[in-house]
Amino acid sequence: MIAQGWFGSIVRVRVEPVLMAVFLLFPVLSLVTLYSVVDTDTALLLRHGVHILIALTVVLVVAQIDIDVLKRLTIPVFVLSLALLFLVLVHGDTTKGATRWLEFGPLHFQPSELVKLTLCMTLAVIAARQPLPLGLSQTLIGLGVICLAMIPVILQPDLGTAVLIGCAGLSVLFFAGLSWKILCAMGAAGLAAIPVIWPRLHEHQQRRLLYFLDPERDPLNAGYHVIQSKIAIGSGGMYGKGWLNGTQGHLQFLPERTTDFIFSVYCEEFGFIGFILLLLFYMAFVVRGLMIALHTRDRYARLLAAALTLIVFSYMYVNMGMASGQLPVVGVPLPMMSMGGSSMLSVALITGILMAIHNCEKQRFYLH
Amino acid sequence: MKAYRWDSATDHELRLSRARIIFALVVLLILAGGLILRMFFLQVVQHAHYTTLSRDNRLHVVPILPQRGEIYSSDGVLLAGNLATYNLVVQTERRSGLPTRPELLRLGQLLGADAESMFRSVHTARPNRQGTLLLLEGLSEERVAKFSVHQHLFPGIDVQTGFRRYYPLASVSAHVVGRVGGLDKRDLAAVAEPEQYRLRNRIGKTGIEKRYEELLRGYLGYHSAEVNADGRIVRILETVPPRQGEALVLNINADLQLEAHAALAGRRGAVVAIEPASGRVLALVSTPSYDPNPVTIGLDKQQYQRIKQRADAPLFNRSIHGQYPPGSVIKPFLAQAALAGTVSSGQARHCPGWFRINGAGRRFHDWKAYGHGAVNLVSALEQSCDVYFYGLALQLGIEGMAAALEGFGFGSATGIDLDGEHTGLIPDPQWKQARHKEPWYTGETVITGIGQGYMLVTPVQLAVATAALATNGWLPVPTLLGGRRNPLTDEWLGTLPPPAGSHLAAAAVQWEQVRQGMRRVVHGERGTARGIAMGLEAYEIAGKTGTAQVVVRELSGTSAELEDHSLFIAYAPIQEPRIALAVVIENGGSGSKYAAPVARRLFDHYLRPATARLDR
Repeated sequence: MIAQGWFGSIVRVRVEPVLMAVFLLFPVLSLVTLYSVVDTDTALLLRHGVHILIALTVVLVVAQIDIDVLKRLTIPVFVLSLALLFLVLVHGDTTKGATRWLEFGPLHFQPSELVKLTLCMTLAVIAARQPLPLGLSQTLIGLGVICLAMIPVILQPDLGTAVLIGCAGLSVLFFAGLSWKILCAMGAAGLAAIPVIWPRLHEHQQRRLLYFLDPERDPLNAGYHVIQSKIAIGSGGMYGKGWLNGTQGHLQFLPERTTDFIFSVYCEEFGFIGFILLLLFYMAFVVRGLMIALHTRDRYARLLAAALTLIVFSYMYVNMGMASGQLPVVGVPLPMMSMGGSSMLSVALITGILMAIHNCEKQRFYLH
Repeated sequence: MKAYRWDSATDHELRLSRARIIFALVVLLILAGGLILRMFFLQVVQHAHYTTLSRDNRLHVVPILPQRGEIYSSDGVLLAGNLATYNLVVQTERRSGLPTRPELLRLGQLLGADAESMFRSVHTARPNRQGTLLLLEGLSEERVAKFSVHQHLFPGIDVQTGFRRYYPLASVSAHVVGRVGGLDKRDLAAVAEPEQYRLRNRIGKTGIEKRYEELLRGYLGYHSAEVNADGRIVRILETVPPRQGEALVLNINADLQLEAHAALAGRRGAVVAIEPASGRVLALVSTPSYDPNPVTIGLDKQQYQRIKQRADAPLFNRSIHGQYPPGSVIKPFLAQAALAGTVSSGQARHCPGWFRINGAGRRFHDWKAYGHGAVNLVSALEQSCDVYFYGLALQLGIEGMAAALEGFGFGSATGIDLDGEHTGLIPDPQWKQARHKEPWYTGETVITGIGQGYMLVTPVQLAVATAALATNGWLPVPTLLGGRRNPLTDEWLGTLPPPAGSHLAAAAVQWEQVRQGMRRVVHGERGTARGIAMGLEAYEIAGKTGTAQVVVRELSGTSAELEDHSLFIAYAPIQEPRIALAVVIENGGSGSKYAAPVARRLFDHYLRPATARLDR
């Protein structure tokens, strides 16, 4: 039976065409852009290529998983990822700034990426216990779980990522019908807490937060990145300087140009037209993801699909907003474009799960 | 086919979900629209502006170094300051922007420098992280003035003002103030705000310089400047001045520090003096010491290695790192422990000059061959009778002694604000089993009673514990930092925490008996340190001598006996103690002969001016 099942799923690899197309297209764009930046360092490109292949495999494998299996795996996976987060805290030396990485032999890996996913899955399980909208007790449990996931990240300390995790968690509750009253109340409470917390912070923490809100006040660091990134983007113009013709990225004016600021390099070389194209691809992915959510009747799968899609959008939006000087500088990669295995893997997982949800929904539809 | 367990979704639920998802979709589309507008603004509307910035002129941000905070003693003596230095640099990031040979020839003529060597150094050296190249180092003010007049002839060449750390008291304060040194990768990995170290090449390496690095270093300022295609600065757009580091005022009394350093001259040893009530460290000296000034400028490796490997270890801070057997200076603390237990001070013992456990077996000898006769607790302290304390040690037991000594802070760090303090060692049977895999012998309990055996203490621990004797049980945390001052406004910054410490509980009568014993060490007829009472009228001293046997296990495996360590702990004036100190002189011989006179000299120096003032 088992062998048969295995065999069956390998032979009939089910994918969702729109998501798959987008996921195949982005690595190409990413390699093209990176090629322009890294010059002769082909080892870097090669490693990125390997990451892409691994990511594609992950998409194809995860897409075949039964949502019911995923649901049952949710809580153990969440507990495991939380444990890894705490391991980072214990493992890391607190005097040496933020330690966000875990090393398993040759594998580097950022547990906070994983937690974002497993938190959404867990909240979806909690919310799916009863018919929506969310009851009070479920809301409270959900908020508690969100705090549980945020605290170790805040302690790392990595405030930016903690906020993103919190938002991802809240999006599940939002889709589960969290009442507008509670949403507004939480917003108000957050604002009210600021004057209480602010004076208690150390001076250098206050400076940090001010820079976080307004990086141009700190031209030596984050502000410098933003200024240079804006010059790169702005000088690209309508049609761009052309592939391999960018100067800001090449002259090393742009920091982190293979990871967080790859968007600026892309826009310098491909211009506004290139940007519109890029945005269209992302929006195709996002709209397709939300459509899948819209058409899924299973409560857990519906909530999960919507929330995961939002994660991808938030990555994209925060990264682009940061590079164009609209948002504070947070180290968020551009999904499917930036170098770096952790983010590539988490987007691959998201894409795979979205496909799996789609596949199961289709199957269910045919069954009835 | 497999059956799925699907949650049944009601129509109401689906409507809710649809509403929420569509709402989210609308929000996302609006956000994406915002991005499009922003990008349109950058790439189409402001395209020309950014093209200019990108092609012709690029924005450069050049950090400006703040001055490192100065360090003062409590009596206002500068312990660490900054000297201005002037360097001639080229601001460039491209080879084509380097000064030409004729340019350098003219410059060489103007300043009387060798143009050829400047040319070589510019064209072979790599620019630093900020894209500056060093042309000439350490210019005199006269040459700086000359250059400034003619600067328009040399575009792109600049005078860079820098600062060099300077320690006026040199070796006297080296072990307190510490020194700065070259910034390396490991330093950068350990600091909280690494971005504050752009442009810097110095960081606090030892002492106060290291411990209060974050207060001292200040905050960078910056110029934002337009740079032309050659990478030379065309004009400065904006300047934000740096913020100077805070000035630190230490509790160290420079006068006393100098005197203590002089008193130890030519010897290996340490002195720690603290104010008993507050824990303020008045003097902290370790000799031999070293002059941090040349080290700061940058010695070459060989010179530094020579200092580092000298046999008398001048870089070693004996006051907090040196661990010594305490010898008899441990006796007042054991006496205190015994009084708190079952021993009464009047209880007399007979000292025949030796001691045997239960009157049998090996003889433990007194330092005085024929013994002290009948002694009680006070006279045993006065004469430092070993036999009395052998008996006391057996009565207390090793665990009892260990607990009492740990109460006085031995065996753990005192918490002084210097890095890497050693803890010393208070042995007990568990420790010995773990460390040496051997059981504890009663004989080891006996010799622990006179501060020999495995026990090790640091000078700063001795000073703190002595302060506890002086204050009837207040065990202070020794602190060097007295205050922080804004260097520009002279305004005091932040409130320092109140004196920290803990209280040892014991009856006042018991403290008084130990005090009597220690008073008689100096002022008694048969006191071991009665020599230092000569001519002493203005105040009284309570003290205790110690002579610690040193056995050094040499490489060959045989034990060689060295000259004893000479120790002395004391506080004064006896009724209202204002200073408590510990003196350790390595291989100095007996405590009474060497360490005790150092203490007298320091007490005189610290207390006499005050008594003179009172008389007036």
